[in-house]
Amino acid sequence: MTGRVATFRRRAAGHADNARRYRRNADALLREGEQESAGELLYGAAKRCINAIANRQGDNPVKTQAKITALRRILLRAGNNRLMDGWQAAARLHIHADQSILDPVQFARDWDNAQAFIAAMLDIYDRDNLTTGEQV
Amino acid sequence: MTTITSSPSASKTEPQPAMTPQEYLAAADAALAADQPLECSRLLWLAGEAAFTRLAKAQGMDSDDLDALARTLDEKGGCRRYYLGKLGTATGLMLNANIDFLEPYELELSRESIHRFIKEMS
Repeated sequence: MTGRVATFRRRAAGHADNARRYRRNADALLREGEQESAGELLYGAAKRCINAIANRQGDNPVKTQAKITALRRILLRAGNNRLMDGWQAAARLHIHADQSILDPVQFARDWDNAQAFIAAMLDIYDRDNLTTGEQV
Repeated sequence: MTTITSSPSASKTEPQPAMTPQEYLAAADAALAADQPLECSRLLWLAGEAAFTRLAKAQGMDSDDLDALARTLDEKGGCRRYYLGKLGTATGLMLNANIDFLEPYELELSRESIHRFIKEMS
């Protein structure tokens, strides 16, 4: 294992922890009626899920397009391309935070889809760690 | 806040004959090939909407409320947000047709998703 890959793998756990923390904070913000901020934070959690798994697999996608390329690889390996819709839901929450593009029904739908994406991605991350014998 | 409750096609002055989801997909691909990403988005939304309408009819369900339809289909099929995810992607395309917020690579992701959906429903 190269030093660079080892560094990425060490960072993976931090990204997964941040994803869980961001999701909790997003839930709290939504309960307070802070819809736009909550959506932005949930998008942040979704991004960190991608980086957690990608880092764990020795990759380090920085820009959004690179994250999508990494996500394609992750989903191909996991045999689940259906999660791509959840990522796009998270991305719309990000746009909504700036441009208010979603009506309440659309926001609720994208919120639920983004939450499902994050839950499934964290499952993939946990499984990856278990199969390699490392601590979750 | 932008609220769009009806299909973008409703604003067109010329009535459009109903097309199948596959026909909408072919038209969307042609629009993209002609460098018309917003028209491509609109047609992909219509493909998704037509597929959901067909699903509702096949299941004897109401197609007026697509959100409720997608949630019910997920519940009945034991799916983890499959139909709701597809409806979200289709709706995102409808919004993009009006607001133009998707990057080309994001539009491609949505296009792939709707293509898979229609194929899986066929």
